[in-house]
Amino acid sequence: MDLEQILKYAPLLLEGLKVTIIISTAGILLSIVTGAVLVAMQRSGIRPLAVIVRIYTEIILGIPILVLLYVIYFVLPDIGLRLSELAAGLLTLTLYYSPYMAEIMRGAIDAIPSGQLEAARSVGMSRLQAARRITVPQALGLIIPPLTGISIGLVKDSAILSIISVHEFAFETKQVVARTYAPFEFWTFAAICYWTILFVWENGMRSLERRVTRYREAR
Amino acid sequence: MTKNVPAIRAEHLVKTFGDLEVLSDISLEVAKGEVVCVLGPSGSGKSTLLRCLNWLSPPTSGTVWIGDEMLGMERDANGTPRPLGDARLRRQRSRIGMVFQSFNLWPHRTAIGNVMEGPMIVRGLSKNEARERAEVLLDRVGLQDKATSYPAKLSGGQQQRVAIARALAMEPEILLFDEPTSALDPELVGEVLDVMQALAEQRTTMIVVTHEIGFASEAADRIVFMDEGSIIEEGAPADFLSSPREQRSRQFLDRYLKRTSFTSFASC
Amino acid sequence: MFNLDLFYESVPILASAAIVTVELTVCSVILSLLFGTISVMLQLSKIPGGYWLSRTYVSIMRGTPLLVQLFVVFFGLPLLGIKGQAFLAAAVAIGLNSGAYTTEILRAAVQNVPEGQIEAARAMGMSTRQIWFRVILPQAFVVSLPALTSEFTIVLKSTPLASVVAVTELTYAGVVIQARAFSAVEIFLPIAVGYVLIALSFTQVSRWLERRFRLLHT
Ligand SMILES: Nc1ncnc2c1ncn2[C@@H]1O[C@H](COP(=O)(O)OP(=O)(O)O)[C@@H](O)[C@H]1O
Ligand SMILES: [Mg+2]
Repeated sequence: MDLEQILKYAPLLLEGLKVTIIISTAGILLSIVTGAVLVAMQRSGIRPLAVIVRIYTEIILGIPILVLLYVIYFVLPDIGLRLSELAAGLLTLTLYYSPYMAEIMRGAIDAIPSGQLEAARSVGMSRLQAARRITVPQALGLIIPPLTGISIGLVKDSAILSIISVHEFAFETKQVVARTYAPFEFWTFAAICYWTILFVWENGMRSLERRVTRYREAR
Repeated sequence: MTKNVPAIRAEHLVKTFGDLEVLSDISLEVAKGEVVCVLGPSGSGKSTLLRCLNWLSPPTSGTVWIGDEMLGMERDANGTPRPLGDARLRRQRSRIGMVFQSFNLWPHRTAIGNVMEGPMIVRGLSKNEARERAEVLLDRVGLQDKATSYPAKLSGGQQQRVAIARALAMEPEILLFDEPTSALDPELVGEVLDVMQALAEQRTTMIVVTHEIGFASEAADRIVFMDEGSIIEEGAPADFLSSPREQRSRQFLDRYLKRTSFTSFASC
Repeated sequence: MFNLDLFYESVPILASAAIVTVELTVCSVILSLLFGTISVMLQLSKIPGGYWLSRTYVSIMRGTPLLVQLFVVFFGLPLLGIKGQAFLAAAVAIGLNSGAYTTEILRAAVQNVPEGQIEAARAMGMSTRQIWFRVILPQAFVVSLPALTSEFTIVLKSTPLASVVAVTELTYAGVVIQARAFSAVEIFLPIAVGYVLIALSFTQVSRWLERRFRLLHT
């Protein structure tokens, strides 16, 4: 691999990497929020809302993310909604990943025995107090591992935003490849960068999980 | 020459797991056509002994002979022993049948499929030859009508009888049984013991680890009593069961017979 | 707003592109099973270095975007003397990628095969290879069928990425038509519906397999 070449284009690539990280972080946060909304809709006791969530989830599970991206990027303008590349990309990641986030939250909530909440209420805690002091701390330990997996998926999928020219890492790599004509080298380099970031992310989350589940070791 | 050679002969078997010595200097000979029952408390090393006798778990030291062939080892030009190549070890193993406490049938094959597998794969019989042989054997263990059932659809007793047929299909020179009825509901024990009794009467060479004293007294030519990795005592069933010489054998039998008489009383 | 003529016009083109999508899915699935099986055998048999080779493969495939893998394979194949094979590159990249997940699925199933069954086979004189192919893998595949089916739904959903190396599968055909027609609804809506329907039928197959499998084992 030509190190000189890579060094020469490093600032450009780094810029792309920064965008990838920002988009991914925003995508993760937005899909968590949207996912929470989906859970709330489903648990609201209002049947039509629950049905909408069901249908929406089935569609997302069946549709390739690239097709969703095209629908948002090409079809929405037809009906008068023109989004920037960045906004279309972020919307795609959010819409695609929120059902997965919802699923994670549902699983965690259901895993906590309802008796614990009753116990919290019985000592006089409010619903909010019970949620903050009983549900959330335990749910965190259950959420982190699947959240890690899903967020890794999101970071990887953010690479397809290069197709609609969002200036993230894969896009900048493509630019560099067009200029240097060293595609194999630069795509391999890109793979190494993604792998490193995700490796650090995965292991960081794992140690975080160990910290929040320390209470389990006492048994 | 072959006439006097025992079917299987173990000399000075020692087996250790880390610091734990599980078998300490066991020697045992079983003649052709002989039925030996091995008794002993749980943890005394009975299973380990059987697994050494077919090299599933090679002993730490000691030798095993099947017929006049050394098992799992060979001597090089200088006479020093070394492990046998895998292919030859497998050929030797196929001469020793084994029946496990937990049946270990392959759940993705039907009863007859389980029986045909070894002859086809290891012996290279054609499918038809293997099927013919398997049908005869399933008939012998009384399961001809269950040939096409999957193991999950069979009772424990039926599964164990299929497992016996599977072992017999290799036409082994000796059969090893490791507590073949211990995992069975009491009412299913009889059907398996009947099959084994019939094998004993046909002079099949067998080593049977069992807690079924009744079976041992009827079917065995010899009883071997093990404790803490050693053979404590051996003898004819009548002698051993009625007048054991060793303190530990007596204790074992006392406890054992008390328990069985209690259970038979309870089941009245 | 919805131009029916454009829709009718594009249907034949989309249909033939859909066939490419199916072909690509099938080829990728076959490669995924192949890579996954080899990798799980490397990982769990005692071949020296096999464990680390397999773990590294899985980690690389799971830790990098499929898009990047596609480009690496697409531009890597010519270095091996294989030129101008976009379909092959796409199938290999998707197959390699999915093979990592197949490895994980199979590993769980292989580790669930009771030790006693393997002992019974060894006691009978079967070789390690025979035990893998006659005892372990057949069971592992049956147990994994539901999980594998959903993995292959994901493979189907990955095939649009092949459009980046100009494989004329369904999504690529859609992009080409809409660029010419300057209208997107008539094209991407049917495409989206098509994918959802195929994925739904995959899910049905998976549920059916799961039920059947449960029946077999109780
Ligand atoms: N693979 C092994 N590793 C360590 N210890 C073992 C192993 N297999 C058996 N043992 C030990 O060897 C002893 C004898 O076991 P076993 O032969 O199964 O006895 P038995 O069949 O008479 O009940 C036990 O203490 C058991 O814990
Ligand atoms: Mg035992």
